[in-house]
Amino acid sequence: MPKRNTVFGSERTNLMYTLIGRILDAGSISVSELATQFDLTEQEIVDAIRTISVTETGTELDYSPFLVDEDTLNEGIAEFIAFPLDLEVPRLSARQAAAISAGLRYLATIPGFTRTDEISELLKLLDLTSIEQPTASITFAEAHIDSDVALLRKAISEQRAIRCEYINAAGERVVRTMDPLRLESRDPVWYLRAYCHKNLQVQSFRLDRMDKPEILEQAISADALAAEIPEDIYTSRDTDHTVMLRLAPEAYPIITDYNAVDPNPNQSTGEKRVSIQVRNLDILGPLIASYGGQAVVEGPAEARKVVSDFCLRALGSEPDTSGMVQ
Amino acid sequence: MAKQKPISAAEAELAELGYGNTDWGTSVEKRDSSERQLGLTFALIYSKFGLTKREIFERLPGYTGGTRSPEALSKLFERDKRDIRALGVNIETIIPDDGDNQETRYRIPMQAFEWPQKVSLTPSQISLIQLAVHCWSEASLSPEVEAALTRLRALGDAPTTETIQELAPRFRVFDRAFDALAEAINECAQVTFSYRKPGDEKAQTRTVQPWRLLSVEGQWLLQGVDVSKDVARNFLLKRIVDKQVKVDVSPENRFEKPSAEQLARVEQKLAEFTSGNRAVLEITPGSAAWSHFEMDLNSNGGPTLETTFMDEDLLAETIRGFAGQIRVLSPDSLAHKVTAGLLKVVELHA
Repeated sequence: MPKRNTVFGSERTNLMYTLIGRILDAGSISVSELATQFDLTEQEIVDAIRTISVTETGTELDYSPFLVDEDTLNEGIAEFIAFPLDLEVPRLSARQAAAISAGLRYLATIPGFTRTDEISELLKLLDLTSIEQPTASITFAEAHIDSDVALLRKAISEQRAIRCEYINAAGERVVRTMDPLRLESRDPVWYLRAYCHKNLQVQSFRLDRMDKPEILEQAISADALAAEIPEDIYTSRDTDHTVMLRLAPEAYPIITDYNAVDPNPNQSTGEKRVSIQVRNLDILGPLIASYGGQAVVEGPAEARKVVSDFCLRALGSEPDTSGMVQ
Repeated sequence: MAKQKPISAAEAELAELGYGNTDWGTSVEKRDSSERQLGLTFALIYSKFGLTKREIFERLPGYTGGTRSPEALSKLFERDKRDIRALGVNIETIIPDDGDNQETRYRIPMQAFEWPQKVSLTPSQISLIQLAVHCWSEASLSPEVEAALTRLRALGDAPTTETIQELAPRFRVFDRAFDALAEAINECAQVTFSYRKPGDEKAQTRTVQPWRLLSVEGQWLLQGVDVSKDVARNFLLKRIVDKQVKVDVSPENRFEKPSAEQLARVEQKLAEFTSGNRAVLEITPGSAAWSHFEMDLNSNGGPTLETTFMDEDLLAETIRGFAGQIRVLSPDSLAHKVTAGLLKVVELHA
């Protein structure tokens, strides 16, 4: 993983607080070790230590409380030659502790995540170390998570291909073979990022549209091992359709889900107008119908018709058989 | 999600005031804010009795020597204070007995930098924390949680190279109210917001003593006391429609943190309510809905699914997303909501 090059603003303030505590605790420590520990370049660490060393207090102490010897620092060693203050790494704020606890609690809900004991131990540790006791002010109810998660984790760890049925955006049920690479969630929806043997690229597959996955004997391909997993679940293509939407506040999640530019809302109605990119207009039917009027397609006309037809078909009580195995 | 480069409040202030350029990738001013904040931290720790604003503006590099007006300096100080507090470092305010604002003193107690006991984390524990931090990567709390990760990394007894590559869980926290509510919970501060129930044209104003944020199947709930009714209630964050939740920090409206028993009771009530809400659905075999509800596992072979639900409108939303593949057999109220929503969408797309 590449190192972060720059930190700035209050993130850098935080880094400097932390470096002081870390260097005092170690007495003397190499810059390269600090760079590894904080996932930053050595230059960024050296810059931060220099700043610490020249920052005055503006009190009767008219120099930095943490002076470093420039020659030693140039040799790649961080140590303070004077430190009238004895600071430790700052404790976590109640909010930070609560947020990290929440993350750990969420991990504990993932089926097949075998490190539950370790999570409990860490939670205990965080309770002890926060400024106030974070009585789980952010937490998770026991959730139903797709039953395939555990099997897919196994396939990923064993680096073996899988075969499954998949219902695509058009509602067709297809059989796919793929090399599973990573499980991702946008709570509560889980996705498998996998190298698709048919399309020869990394794609995102919704677990709730996947049926009967089975682990194959065959190992995952060299192409899959070499493939880069795009950061976003959805990557746009030239052939995508642009669709204009009008959203009430209840439908704002669409903005995040479709990676759209977030505009200011209308002052009186609170509505936002956004444009999203979709690969297939068919996905609009279920998406817009679910919001029951809180999201409206403004254009193009073709997209409005897709939505209207989807709802009319459902209201006509004609069974939708598009998902049937043909 | 709409991504923005993280800039501190103080940097935003500087930009507003016309200092420095706003290209944060190369800006020199970006460094100034962290240097100024570090200097302010040192000063407020080191001075025994704290410093007044006037003393800070006269003595501290970063505040002195510029051409900023007293108002601009004051704003800058307020933003620095907020940034430092957001990093979890408490700045105490000491108001003189005569109430003279000019003489208010500020100091940072050493406790913010002292852990109650020696904590040391293993590389494997740090890799778990990294994953927990990653869960927040699309939420606005993210910078604060990243700051916590930096500190926790420093408590590792060995550099961490182990990362858990095969998993990337994330929450969806797009509710605008989330951060303000998380803060209000920590502060035991009452909140007021506009809450719109489905089907209502207008939102109602609710005042709540917030206890906890709970995620149920990806939906965030606020649990707390509805002040006008004096009873613990659940509120869906997605139904809070204000731009900004009002947080009342006045000391007279502070409330006691809920006890473990109170939290357990509100959780139990929600569970009882949910288990009392039953729906019977008929699902088209082989459809996306069939797969979503894992009917191969749950249906005993037939197309009928009996399920419980926390909120009828949320279930109606899910069902409309699979419209044409699910028929609601009961309750009638749910069937009505599904149909009414579809008719509304048709009307809006005519």
